[in-house]
Amino acid sequence: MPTDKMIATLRAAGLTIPENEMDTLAEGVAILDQVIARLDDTSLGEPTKKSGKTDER
Amino acid sequence: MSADLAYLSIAEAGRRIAARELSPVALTEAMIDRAAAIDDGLGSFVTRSDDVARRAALAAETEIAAGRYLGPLHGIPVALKEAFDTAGIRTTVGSKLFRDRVPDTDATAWVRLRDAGAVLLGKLETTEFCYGGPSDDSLFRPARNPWNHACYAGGSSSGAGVALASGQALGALGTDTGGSIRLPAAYCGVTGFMPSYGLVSRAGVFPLSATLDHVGPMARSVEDCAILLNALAGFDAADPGSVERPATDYRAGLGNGVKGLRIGLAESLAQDNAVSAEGIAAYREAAATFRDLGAVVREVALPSFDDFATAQIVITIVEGYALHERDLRTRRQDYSYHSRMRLSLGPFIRAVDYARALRLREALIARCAEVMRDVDVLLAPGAPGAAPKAASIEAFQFFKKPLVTMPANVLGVPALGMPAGISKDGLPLAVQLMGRRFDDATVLRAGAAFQDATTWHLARPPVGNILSTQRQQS
Repeated sequence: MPTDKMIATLRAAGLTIPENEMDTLAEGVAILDQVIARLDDTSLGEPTKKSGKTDER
Repeated sequence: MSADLAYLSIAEAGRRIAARELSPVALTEAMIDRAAAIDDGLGSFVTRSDDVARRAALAAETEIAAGRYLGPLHGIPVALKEAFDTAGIRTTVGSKLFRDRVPDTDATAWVRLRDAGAVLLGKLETTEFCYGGPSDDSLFRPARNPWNHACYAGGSSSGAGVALASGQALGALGTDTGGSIRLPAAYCGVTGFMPSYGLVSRAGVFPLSATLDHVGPMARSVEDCAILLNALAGFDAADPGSVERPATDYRAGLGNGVKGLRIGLAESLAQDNAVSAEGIAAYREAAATFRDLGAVVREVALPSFDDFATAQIVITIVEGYALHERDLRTRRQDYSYHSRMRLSLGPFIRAVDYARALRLREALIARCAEVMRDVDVLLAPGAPGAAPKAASIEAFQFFKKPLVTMPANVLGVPALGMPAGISKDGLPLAVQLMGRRFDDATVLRAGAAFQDATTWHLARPPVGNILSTQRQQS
């Protein structure tokens, strides 16, 4: 997310972030963006395997 | 008579107290002495209520002597995470914002333990608001892992894990939104149980995420967790998430073993991007143990770990931010660094994404309910591995590398974390068992069978067995 958009989002929320914390917060926003992007995946919640091995000893 | 009271189980202490072989006063004094001797170096307690404990222990002793024995928690010294309200005793949730907060009521969970006769030793360190940390700029310094002081004790119920591992309490209560009971249990080598969502009241416990928060017991064995759960479980109208369920004796079936029990291996949670090689090895060894005990063990097809993590991360940030929005605007610098960084992500999640995360959760619940038709419990790694160095934990650590404990919170199912190995560096490793919602008894039964067959839960950190002379009465 571009810095100016990040600052605008924070400002709209009424949050003031010191300059020396902005880089770290930007890192967090980047990670969060990746997490949120996963919500676009239509296969979410589907199983990862079709069947499994059984040990019935 | 000499015995190691520091590491006495609740079950054994209860048996001895009932038989009048052990005095609740002597047991409580032993705990107070031990905390005074060793806790300055560990920091598990943030407030010790020695006088309250002494009065409660004396009252228990008097009641028992008069023939009014309440059950296996009567006279048992326990401690509470600093997120549980205690009337007249400071409750800060580890934050400078609540530095002087003294509640005038008790959390329901504590009321239930107290009514069962438990003795309150004090309040245990939590990472700030059950979400921050480990941070040196919180109200209290992080509790130190007794296995290695440089290592993270796990959070957010850090003090509970440390106090139990170092023999300073027989039981404790923690809270769990993404692993906050099970992670400190794993890193400190103790046992932690997150009950089904709705089974144990959260009233009077400071929230983080209303739809993911759970309250549960921590102890040094499954049996002790079951004893605590017997007192804790039950409907409470004061908790909107509470569910009315038939009364269950969670201790009664612990000895029934796992022969024929169907155990699903949660392979999608045992991936090397989420769990260390040692953690995965401990999980596979635990699976072999269950096979040897007669369980039917098979792999199951769960959704991907990332799906669970996505739902947990988005929901927790939004619901946590909703609680803290006003204070973040006006007192942001009073939050510790890690808390304020994590919570400040709230404005970056749109309402539509929160709604999609909730929908994803419903899909995950439905899919896992299908899986659980074919198995009785799931076995998974209990943590990302052995405890990492505390200094290595970054602000967004658990977003970059989510925790294998998160799926159970998303599903609202019971999850038991318990020791299952020792790493090459001499630190505890853990596995977790999950079950169907409200089938907590089966999860505990499987865990008890594992602990009957192994000794990992009996391993102790090198704290020093300082209580060589115990004040016991026979």
